[in-house]
Amino acid sequence: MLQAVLLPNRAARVVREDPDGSLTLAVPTRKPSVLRGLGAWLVRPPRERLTLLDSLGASVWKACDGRRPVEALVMEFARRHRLSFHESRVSVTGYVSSLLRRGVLAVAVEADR
Amino acid sequence: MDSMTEWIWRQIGAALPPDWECLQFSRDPEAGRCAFADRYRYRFELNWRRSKGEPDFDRMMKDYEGSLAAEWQGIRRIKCRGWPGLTGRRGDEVVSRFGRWQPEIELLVEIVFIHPERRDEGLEARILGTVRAVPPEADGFQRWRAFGMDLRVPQDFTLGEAVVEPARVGLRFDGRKKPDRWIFRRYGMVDSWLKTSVRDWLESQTGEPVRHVRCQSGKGGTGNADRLEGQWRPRGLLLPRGAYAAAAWLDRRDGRLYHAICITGKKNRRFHPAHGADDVLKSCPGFLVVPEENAS
Repeated sequence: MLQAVLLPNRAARVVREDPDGSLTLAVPTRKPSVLRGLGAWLVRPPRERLTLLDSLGASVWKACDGRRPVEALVMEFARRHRLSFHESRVSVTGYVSSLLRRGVLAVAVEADR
Repeated sequence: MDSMTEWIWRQIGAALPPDWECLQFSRDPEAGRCAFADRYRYRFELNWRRSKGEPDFDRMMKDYEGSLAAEWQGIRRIKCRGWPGLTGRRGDEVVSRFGRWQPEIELLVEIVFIHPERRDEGLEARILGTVRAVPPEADGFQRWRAFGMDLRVPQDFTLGEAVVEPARVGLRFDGRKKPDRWIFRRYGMVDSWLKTSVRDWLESQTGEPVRHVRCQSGKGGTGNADRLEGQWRPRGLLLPRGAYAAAAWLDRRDGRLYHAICITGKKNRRFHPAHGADDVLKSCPGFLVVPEENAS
């Protein structure tokens, strides 16, 4: 996990950015197969799913630039908030895992692999 | 690694490199362990088991040697600072285990070092030289030094709860009789969540059972502590009452908020901190090692 490089999902867009640093992101959703065809007339799932990040979360999301590994993000978060390495590691890796599950972040994979 | 950080847990003390953090711990006073890791792997273990008398170390070593022979390569007996032990290679790391019986606290203490690639004998000697028993003090208090806090609790108190999360640590010690309960907390990232004064926050932490609250500010612990005293009077005829003392302060050196609560019943009145709860808790900014800018 520490060596992984993360970048924002290109399909995600910033819907709102508040003065306190919080962000609202919208990620397109994939329509389930049961809701295609006739089902689509009955149930209309939302085209996008919104994710609200507080200022701390937004700073982590912005730091995922596709260049630096998670370890560098952990160290930057630790320095900024005066945390030890493992305090920061648990916070950052837990948070980016939840952002990966929500599709807001993606893991960068080198083209030659 | 110029300085070492002192760790005291279950009456066992050791000085460790400050970037080794405790990631696993046991509350059980009979048998348990604390495991410490650097940035990438576990490096050190402190194990204990109650033993009324000194065990037969020679036999223990033979048993250990036999059981570890399948896992370790090049296993051999060693001795460091008077600690008998075993060392051997396990995959890409070298593991050394040392054991000793501590008569003052009647505990069998086992120390495990995990070295990446090769054994660091100097580090082993440096740390083993600091491992010692920390029996209760003459005034009846036992000392704990862990997770950024240095605290003293009555010797018959046991660690009832330990919550260790990023930027939030809480240790609760319970006396034998209710309502004896001392609680110590340390919070980080204070700028992100503390939107009031420390004094107001301290007051907000008292619950309904605390009556006749008196607040005062002043020097204490390691800085300006806000203190609060009152009576512990939970609702209910049969619930025991006691004295309540709490203190909180922000330590500028590590940016952490420290919070101590002492609820003491009549039987243990002599232990109740006379000058506020910050009497029995000290902040330890040396525990906080923030990664360097140029660290790889």
